[in-house]
Amino acid sequence: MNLNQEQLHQIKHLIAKRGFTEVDIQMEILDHVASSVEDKMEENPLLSFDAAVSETHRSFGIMGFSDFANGIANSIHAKYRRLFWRFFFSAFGYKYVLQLCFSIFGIYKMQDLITANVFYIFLVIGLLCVFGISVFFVIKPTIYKKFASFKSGTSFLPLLGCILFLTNFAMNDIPVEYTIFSLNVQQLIVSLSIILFVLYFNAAIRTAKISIMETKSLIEKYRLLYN
Amino acid sequence: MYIIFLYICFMAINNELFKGTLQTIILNLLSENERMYGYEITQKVKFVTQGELLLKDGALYPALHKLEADGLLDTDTEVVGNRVRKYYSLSKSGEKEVVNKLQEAKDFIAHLQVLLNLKPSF
Repeated sequence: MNLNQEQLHQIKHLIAKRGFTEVDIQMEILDHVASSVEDKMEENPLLSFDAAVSETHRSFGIMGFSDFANGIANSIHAKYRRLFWRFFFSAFGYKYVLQLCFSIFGIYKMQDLITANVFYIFLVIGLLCVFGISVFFVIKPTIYKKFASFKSGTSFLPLLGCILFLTNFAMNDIPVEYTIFSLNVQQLIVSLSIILFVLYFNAAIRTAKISIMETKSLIEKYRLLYN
Repeated sequence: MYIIFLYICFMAINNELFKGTLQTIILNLLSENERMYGYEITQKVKFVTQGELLLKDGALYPALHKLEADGLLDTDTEVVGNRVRKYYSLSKSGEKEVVNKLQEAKDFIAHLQVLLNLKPSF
């Protein structure tokens, strides 16, 4: 037997009432609960829908849907976290080592050629671009924000500020005269933090893109539940 | 009361052993069934073990999502009976991994039999 739209709405309402508001989490619980309710009603045709739902809910134990929902939520977060770090560390692969070293060296040398003020202007322009791109990715219709996959996939963008803080600290608080192996420490840390920033930004954007794509495809399928 | 206590202990030990092989079980089930959804997996495990082992929902979904994140599973969502259902299937690397995982499990069982002096019943 198949549950009708009204019965599915009742289950959906019950899940939402328990505090699980993210649509992708709700839907995975909904299908699991609905399948269990259908099985119970098929096994015992005298069992009412409400009784089958309560029985199913009870079978989840004293924590109700919490363990189940937390399991789904954690694994969605873990999925995007793994994806993010995979993108981030892929830049350290043997194919890109030379590129990475040249980039660090390039930024280091660039600081010798231009004055601190000009370098700061370049940095600010770069940051404005990064901020603009991040906003473009994060600002989406409200429906996206109801999906755990969107929230998890775009959660890395706001953390860009931490690396920015490191760059700023290096530029303002490390004395210019410090050297290590004849290299200027301040310039070196600024170069490294800029590269770190770019790699982090690249990984965050790629993760966000995938999460947006997945959320978009889910929205298309879940539309029938909003109608 | 004592029997119930023993049964609970037995189930707890079984489930602990079960947890360690959960990924192998999921991969193997998917290699035999092409694609399955979450509830179907729990019911299949219950049916195959005649209710002796119950796959908890709180353990199943994290395992499924981990396998998905590791690239061993592909997923697709489908509208089935007025709701959206997420199906899990083996990816190309999942198909390769299932062979390794099964071999690992078989080796482990063989070692366990030696360690515990058990004689295979087959």
